[in-house]
Amino acid sequence: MFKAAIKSLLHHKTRLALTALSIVLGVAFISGTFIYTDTTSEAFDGIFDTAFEGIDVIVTSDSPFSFSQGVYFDEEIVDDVAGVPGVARSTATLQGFGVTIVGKDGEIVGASGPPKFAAFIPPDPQDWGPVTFREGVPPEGPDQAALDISSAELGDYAIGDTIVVVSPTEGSMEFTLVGTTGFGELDNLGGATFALFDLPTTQMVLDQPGKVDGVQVQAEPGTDIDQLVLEIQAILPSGAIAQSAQTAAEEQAAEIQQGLGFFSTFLLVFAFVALFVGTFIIYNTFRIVVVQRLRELALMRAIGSTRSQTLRIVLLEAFIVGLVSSAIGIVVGIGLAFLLRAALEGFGIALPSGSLVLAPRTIIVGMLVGVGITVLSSLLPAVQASRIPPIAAMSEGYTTPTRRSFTVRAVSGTVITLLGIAILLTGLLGDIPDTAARLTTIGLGAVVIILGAYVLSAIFAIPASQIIGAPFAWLFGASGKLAQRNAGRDPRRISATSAAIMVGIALITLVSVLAASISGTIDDVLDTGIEADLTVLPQNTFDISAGFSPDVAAGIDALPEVAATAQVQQGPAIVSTVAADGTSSEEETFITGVSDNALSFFDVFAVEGDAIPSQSGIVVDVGTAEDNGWTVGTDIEVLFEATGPAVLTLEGIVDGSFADGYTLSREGFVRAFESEADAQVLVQLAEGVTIEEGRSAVETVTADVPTIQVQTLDEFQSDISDQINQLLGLFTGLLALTVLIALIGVTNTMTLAVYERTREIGLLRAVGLDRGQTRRMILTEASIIASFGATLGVILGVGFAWAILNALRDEGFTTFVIPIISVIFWVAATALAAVVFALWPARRAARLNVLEAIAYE
Amino acid sequence: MNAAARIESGTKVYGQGEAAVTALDEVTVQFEEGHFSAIMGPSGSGKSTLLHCIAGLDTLTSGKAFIGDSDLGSLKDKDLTVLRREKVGFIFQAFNLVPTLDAEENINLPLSIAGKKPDQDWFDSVVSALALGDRLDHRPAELSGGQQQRVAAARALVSKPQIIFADEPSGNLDSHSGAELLGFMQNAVKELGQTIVMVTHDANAASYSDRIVFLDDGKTVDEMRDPTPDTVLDRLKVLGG
Repeated sequence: MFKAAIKSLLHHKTRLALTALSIVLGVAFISGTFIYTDTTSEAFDGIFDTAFEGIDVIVTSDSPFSFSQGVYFDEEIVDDVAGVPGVARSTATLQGFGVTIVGKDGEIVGASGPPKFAAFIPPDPQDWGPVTFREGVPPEGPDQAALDISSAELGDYAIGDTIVVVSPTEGSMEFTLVGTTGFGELDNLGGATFALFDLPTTQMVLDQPGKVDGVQVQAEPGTDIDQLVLEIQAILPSGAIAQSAQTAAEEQAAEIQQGLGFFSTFLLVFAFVALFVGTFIIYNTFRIVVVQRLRELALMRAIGSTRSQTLRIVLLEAFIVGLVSSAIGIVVGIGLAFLLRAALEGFGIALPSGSLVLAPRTIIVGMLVGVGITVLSSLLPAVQASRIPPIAAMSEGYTTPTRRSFTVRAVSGTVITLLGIAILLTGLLGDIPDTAARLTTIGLGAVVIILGAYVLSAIFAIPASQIIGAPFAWLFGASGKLAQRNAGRDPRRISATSAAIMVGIALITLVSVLAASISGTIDDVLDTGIEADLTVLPQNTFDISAGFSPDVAAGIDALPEVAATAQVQQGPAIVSTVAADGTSSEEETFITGVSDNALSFFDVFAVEGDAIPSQSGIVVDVGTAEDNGWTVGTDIEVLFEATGPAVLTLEGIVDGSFADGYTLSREGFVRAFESEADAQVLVQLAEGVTIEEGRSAVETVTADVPTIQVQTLDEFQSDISDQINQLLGLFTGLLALTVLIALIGVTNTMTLAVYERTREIGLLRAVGLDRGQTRRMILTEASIIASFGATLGVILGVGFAWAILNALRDEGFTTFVIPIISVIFWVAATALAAVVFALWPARRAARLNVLEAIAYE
Repeated sequence: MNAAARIESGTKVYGQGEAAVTALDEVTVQFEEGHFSAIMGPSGSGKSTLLHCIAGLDTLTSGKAFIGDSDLGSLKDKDLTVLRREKVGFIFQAFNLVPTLDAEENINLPLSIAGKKPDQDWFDSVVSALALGDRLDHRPAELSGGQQQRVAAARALVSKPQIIFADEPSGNLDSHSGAELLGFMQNAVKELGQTIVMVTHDANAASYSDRIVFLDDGKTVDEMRDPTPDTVLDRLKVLGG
């Protein structure tokens, strides 16, 4: 039986190879992701394991904030810890972000995503932790600095050069570069930049005089580390926590991996999509193979093979296909992991160069998923094959009886679709606190809806192919009309073929609509929400939360070209919110602080109370107030990282297109965050001053703070749109790949159609259809099928996007934009690509020998 | 008398070397305009090959085949297709119709492939002569075998071809439907001046023609004018068919 299966596979090798491609790709993405994750995780574990050699206990802050801005302790903590019995040495640690290195060319060093750190590097090598010096010595005194080697290279700096560093509060500063560092063998940590100083200089740069953020401890030989941790913990101030170096190393490694985990999640989602599309293709291919081998299978039945033997032959074939393509997929996955590493390094993120880790888990999961999906997808066709009666070997016109009525289809399709919608809505609107569980539910809902749509699509296949085919019939005459009729000929086949395309296009439409709608929402808010000529803010997201010196705003405000400036501050806080059922929970959110004149810049107005609170008060937007059942006068508990818990009185409820979340007065914010740094400054120009004049005036003030950008609102907005579009491009690029896989199904289906219609094509050729017309007939049919799938995909994608945006309405996504042009582009591109994928069967049809075709039985 | 189609020293060899089979051996034959000609012969006599080669569906190994003045051997596939579309009509034994098209669309198929408008009067008279008036919007699957063959005949006629080739047109029909179809073909020749060449092994069918060419072992062995079923059967006995 195995031999028979192999022989039959070889006979259909081209088609099966094409089919296997989807499995290869899906398994490649899964195994590539695993290999990449395992490799980086092993390398980072290695780095942090050896990094803390010689250090036994670490004292750090125990911040409940996920967007921590850093918690600082008085320097005395170092000596206090040194006084604990069993401690041999103790050294301060201090680091903070928002400190930017400016290269020789005046450009900011490093990508805009990762944080930019300033950190204290102790003089004694045994306190360096994971840091190693590549060149030079640790900095000493207020004029010296060291840089991580990546930043030094990017900034084109060599030892002895004068480097420029910009701090949020101190502005531009110059230092002499005395050393370059790495992290073990790594050149940088996930693309973050590091400027390193001695302790007083670090305190100055971070504007934390006399402060440290932790302590590194070396124990006396023979000390029980766990006991020491407890003893150190006992003398620590609140907010500080002692951990063994071992635990700290593991946590740090995990943190960095989590930062890079975005890629893994993204790739696994894509692997899932590829495999999902693959199931449709495999299902369709095996159906086709069964039809083509109908007589052969019937003959085997006639000479005595049992139904279950027939079933097993088809499943065995699927098993072999799955096995081979999964194995290839794992090999391709290794290549993919290499590529991924190269791509990340292209983005300036250094990764360990060690050999790739191929864990047994990678191979097992890859094989199980690949083989499992192939065998499952071939199950139905195998059952169908086993039902072929022996008589089919003898009679000419036998076709597999799959004629279950459309009523059954309509009912089951509707039930499945409704079930999917219910699951989707549960995911979107239901009370699922865990984000991963919520996303899984949404994903499951989408999958079930897609299955429902697939079941239903066969019902629409005939009318839809008539409508879609009409322009072709008009354009191409007889061949177009024949294609139009042929496309609707086997509704089940067209729906199985187009389903795979539908999935890809649905996802592309979904992300396109989401991106356009988010851009649209931002557009709207900026158009109606802000009254300003220029906006001044840092380019880097981490810099926005670090902010920049209030001197900038003061300098701009003093310009004669400027009529008014508003200062906006932003920082994380944990608010005790109240749910509808009265239970309270802690929610981390960003709180805004605004200067008193903010109302003349923003479209915000008080519905109740004041729009801007006093320094001991807070205002919230209408939605937040309603959700929590708050009224003016309510006391709200807020935890600030810098100053601890506070009770603020709700002094106003605001509405308007820019009203969002929690707002403090500038005085209140400065007190709560102990920071005067601005996140953004808005500028209204004096009358008669053009934008360009205003901009150059403002730029004279910001000149020595190169991290800050001066933009008009339009530029600001197009910056955001560009970022969204970049992300969109990445997503659609990968999703387009799944559409390409899906189009392989078109090749399969058209090949089968040509095979089945050999006589008909021969007849058409005999009565005068020329080769070109024959080719055009097949290509057009392929195009119609692909357009059908793409159209369904657009409908589904728009529906998904609409559901998601509706669920996010409370988060401020009020605009729903369908990017018509790009949607049309994708449908047209799919229809055109289908032509390419149908070239081979079309060529076969055109080349059919007329005589053999009509003599063909 | 002009020849609507002719073949000169036509030889057709299938296969090569030892496996070579000579289906047509130096055959020279012509079919006159306005006549209903039949080609008869036992299985393997080469009668179908002769039809295919003279209709431009197959090519001769050597010799020449003509439809009107067109030398089929000199035509490229594209020109041959256009020639079939414009000057030739076909009626096959089975599978004559495109299943996705209704009767009317099938009848007009060659015209619509050529991008031409049908001549409505001519269409109507062909349809009424074949008694297909109430079947025009039916798909082939909804038609009886006889009706299907009549639709095929209508398709062959509607483009007013120079010549119609029929390959066992009544082979799959019961005797009544067969007689109906053959009678109509006879009328098309007599009354409309159509030229038809038909391959058959059925003496009764052949008796509808004006002239029969007998083929055996790839050679023309005899011919007969104005046949009747009895004279055909007698001749077949003589020929050892």
